[in-house]
Amino acid sequence: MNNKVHFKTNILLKNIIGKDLITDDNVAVLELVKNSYDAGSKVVEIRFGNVVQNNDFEVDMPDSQSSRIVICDQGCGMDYDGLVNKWLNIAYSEKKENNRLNGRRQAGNKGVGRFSCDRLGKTLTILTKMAGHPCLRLTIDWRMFENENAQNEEIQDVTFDVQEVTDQEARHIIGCPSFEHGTVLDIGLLRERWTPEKIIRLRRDLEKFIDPNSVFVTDSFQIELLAEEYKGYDQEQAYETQCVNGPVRNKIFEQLDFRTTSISSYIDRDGKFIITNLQDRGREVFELKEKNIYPHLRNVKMMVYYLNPYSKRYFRQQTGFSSSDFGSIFLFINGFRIPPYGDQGDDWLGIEKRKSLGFRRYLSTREVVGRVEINDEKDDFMIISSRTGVVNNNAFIELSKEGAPYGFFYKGFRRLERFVVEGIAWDKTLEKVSEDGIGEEKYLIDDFSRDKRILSVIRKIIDVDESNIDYLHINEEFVREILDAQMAQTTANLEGVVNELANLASNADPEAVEAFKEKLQGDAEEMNKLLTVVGRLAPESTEINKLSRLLTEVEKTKQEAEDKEHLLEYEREARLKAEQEKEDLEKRLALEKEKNTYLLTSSRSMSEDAKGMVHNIKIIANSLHAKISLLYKKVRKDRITKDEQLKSLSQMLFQIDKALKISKLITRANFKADSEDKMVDVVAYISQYLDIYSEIMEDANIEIVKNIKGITFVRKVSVLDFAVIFDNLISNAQKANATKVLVDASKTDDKLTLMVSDDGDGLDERFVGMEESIFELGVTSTDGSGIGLNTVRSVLNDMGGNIAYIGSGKIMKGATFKIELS
Amino acid sequence: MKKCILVIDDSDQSDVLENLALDAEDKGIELEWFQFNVGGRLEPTLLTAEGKIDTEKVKEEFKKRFGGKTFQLIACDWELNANDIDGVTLLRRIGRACYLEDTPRMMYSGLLNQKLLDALKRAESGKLKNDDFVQYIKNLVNAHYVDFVDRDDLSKTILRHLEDDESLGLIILETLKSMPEMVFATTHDHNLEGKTFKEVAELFEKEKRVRNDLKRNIVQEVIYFLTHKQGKKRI
Repeated sequence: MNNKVHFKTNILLKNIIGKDLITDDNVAVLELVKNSYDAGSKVVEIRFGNVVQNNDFEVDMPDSQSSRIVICDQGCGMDYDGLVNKWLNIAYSEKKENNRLNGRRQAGNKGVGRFSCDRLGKTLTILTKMAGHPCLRLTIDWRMFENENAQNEEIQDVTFDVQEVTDQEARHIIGCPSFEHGTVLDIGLLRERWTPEKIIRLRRDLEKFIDPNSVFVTDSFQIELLAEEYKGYDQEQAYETQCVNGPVRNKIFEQLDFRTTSISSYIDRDGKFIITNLQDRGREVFELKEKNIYPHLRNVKMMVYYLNPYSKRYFRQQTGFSSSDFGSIFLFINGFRIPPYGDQGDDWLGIEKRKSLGFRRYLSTREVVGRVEINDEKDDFMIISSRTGVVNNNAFIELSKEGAPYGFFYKGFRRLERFVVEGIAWDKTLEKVSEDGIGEEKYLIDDFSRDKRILSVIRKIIDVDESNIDYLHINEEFVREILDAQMAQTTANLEGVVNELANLASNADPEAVEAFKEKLQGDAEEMNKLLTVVGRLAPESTEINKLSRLLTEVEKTKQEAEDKEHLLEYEREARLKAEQEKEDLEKRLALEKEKNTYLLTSSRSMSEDAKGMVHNIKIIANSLHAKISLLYKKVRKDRITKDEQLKSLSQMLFQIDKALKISKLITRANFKADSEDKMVDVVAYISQYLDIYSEIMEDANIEIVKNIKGITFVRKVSVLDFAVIFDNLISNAQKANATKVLVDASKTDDKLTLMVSDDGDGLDERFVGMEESIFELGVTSTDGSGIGLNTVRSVLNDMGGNIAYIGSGKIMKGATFKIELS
Repeated sequence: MKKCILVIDDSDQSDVLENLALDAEDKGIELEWFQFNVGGRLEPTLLTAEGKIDTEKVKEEFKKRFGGKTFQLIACDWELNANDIDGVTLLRRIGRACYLEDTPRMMYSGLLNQKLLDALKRAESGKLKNDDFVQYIKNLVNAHYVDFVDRDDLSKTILRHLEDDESLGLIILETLKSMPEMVFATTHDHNLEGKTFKEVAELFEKEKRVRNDLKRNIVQEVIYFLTHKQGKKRI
């Protein structure tokens, strides 16, 4: 027994790494295209021959009538050693040892790409030529590995012949004028039927396989599809993209740049920073440089385009198929696509899963297209051998994790999402977008509002700690355009409002001003928001000062509008109240009129004098009413002394005298009884009163002499009180048989002194030695019918004056009284 | 029940007020009354040389005579025998300075109806400008008086008012003034802590905030007290 044993490689291994491993024809073609790329070829032709009509079922080995796919490149080709020891060496890949060959980063590295040929056809003929070496031909019949009964047959037991062919022979086989170097894979007896639709699907996949930006910008690589049999088919197609023949191009992303909103985010080669750039309709909104927080990621770029209904329409116009048929976010590693990531129905990033959680405002794969490009120099990403995806290692998790902490893709994707949702308000496009491509793009909000909203939410969109930001650059032109537009709009509004305010009628509706105010308020708020945002994001902008000045102007006008509004409101309220009052009064008047037409009429016809008299009489009557009522109550309650009764009664008498006086004076032209207390020249009034005394007092038979010239003494007094006081004094004189009364006035230190003396009999003898008692309550010096000197003194006291008895025979032979007023 | 009122008039109203006091007595109200004669000949010191009302002097005199008093009502004559100023204006001018803002006020006139009709007629005939008429009515409407009465109805209107509910603010103020030496030990409002009732009363009159806060706190305390068996008294 041999102790040393080893694996045996059964011939069926070919199936496992060949047609069973590569499960998709398009992936198989791509693997072969990748090999051409890795070989340094600038062009690769994929020719389909006899795919419509062939003799496949009639022949064992393909001939000129058999179906075939010929993949032809002008790469470095292989020499004998390369062909036999490398190409035929399963799982051997130079690319594993050296990922840069032929001036290119190598796309494949598993060493199994060559078995893709098995997937495509039953036979393979390789023609390969290295520059300076002979052209070699190797034919493989894959069917020879498919004998399932050959249990002991190993893969290396099947042998093939390698032949040298002349250049001329090679050119004839290939159908090219020259063949200096390169490899031609002639795959015969195809396993699938390649219809135009299938080839077009391949074309689209190839388009997607090719990273349009990172690889071929500086290093051209062209893929061309050729199928003679379908040229007639192509002529019937409306769009280039629906044709079978022609070069494979991927210009979709470039064109989308001008139509959509996109975000690109790039982790630099050193893995230190992430540079993010957000574009809106071909214009940069901001560029952000922040610290990279993903230790396993470097030299990685993500780019996502948001497709609104218009962009989708444009996409369809340009490509002939819908964006959702195209796919969503593709992954490119070292320039080639990793399928099925991004294909329709594939959700490698969990975008759809996230959307289905019920968050209406998340973007779905139907609304975005984009790519993630990885230049994987250190093999951080491991592509699964079946070419269907990437191993879920740390690097891949950092790239794709959905959920906090979010992976690199979502960091950018969520910014785009926030921009779309909050910045440009995605739901503000018109719902119905015609698919015929006719008509302008129409949005529910105008460009200006849209831009302002964008500016205001930039911070929110970025959503990163200040400490992580290296720099943030907001497009100055973008900011300036917004500020200019705001200023233009506000200035126009302001001018309008100022004019309107100036022309506003005094009885205008305050609501009219409210509208102006709201307009200005809106502008002010917008400007404040802008100032805050711009002040933070672009503090160096020269427009800020202009905007601030305008804002002050707006605030001022707003205040004016507010004042105006208040005034109008006040006036309106007053108007309404007055109208209401007036209405009420009119109602009451009408009611009164109905009730008592006579009284109303006489009231209206009363003269001013009569009104004044009524007023005075009313005051006197009220006073009398109060006094009598009080007297009545006090007597009833037994709470009044005799003195108090006398005082009350004499006060009543005084009031009655006043009433009588009015009735006498009212006919006098110079007597105005409109109010009780009046500012009058007391001396002049007394003088005038004494002049008319004999006329108004019918029984007066007495001469009154005045000595009061040149004295003025203005005070607020009750003229009626004075009249009654003088009546009383003169009446007393008459009762003492006087025929003459002398009134002498003098004024010292703002004090008026009136000396009243008569030529009568003087004071009754009873009062000699107790003259002051004549001023006591209830005492009468005459017949007791008058108001009494007590009341006279009391009235004078009330007006800040006094009266005193001086004596008899002091001036004239009768009594003399001194009245003082200050 | 003790009540105190003030009547502002240009002429002597002592008879009317004495009458009123007797009527109030019949209703079980012990009425203390004061009158303040403004505008007439009875108080010449409150007038200017031209016989007009000197508002500053009125304020001064008011504070001097009635500064410490709490009135349940101030009744004021509309016509104060002064062409430049009426009762509404006078109260407006002295109201704040004399802390009358919380005190209910009543306006009366012997010619109320007549004056209103005159004003209306003058407005209708264009003699009175619309704006002035509006202001005239507005002053009456906005002055927050408890009543407008005809002079004839003054007594019974005052009496009716005295029988009505009293304002909480006045009850508090009266209580504070009746026990000036007592001290606020703890309150919700720390600004009042340690202050005497007298000091609080002064603040209560001067500062609307104190007035409102104290009223609210007292009500809250009382409600707490009324709704808890072991109500803890904190004021």
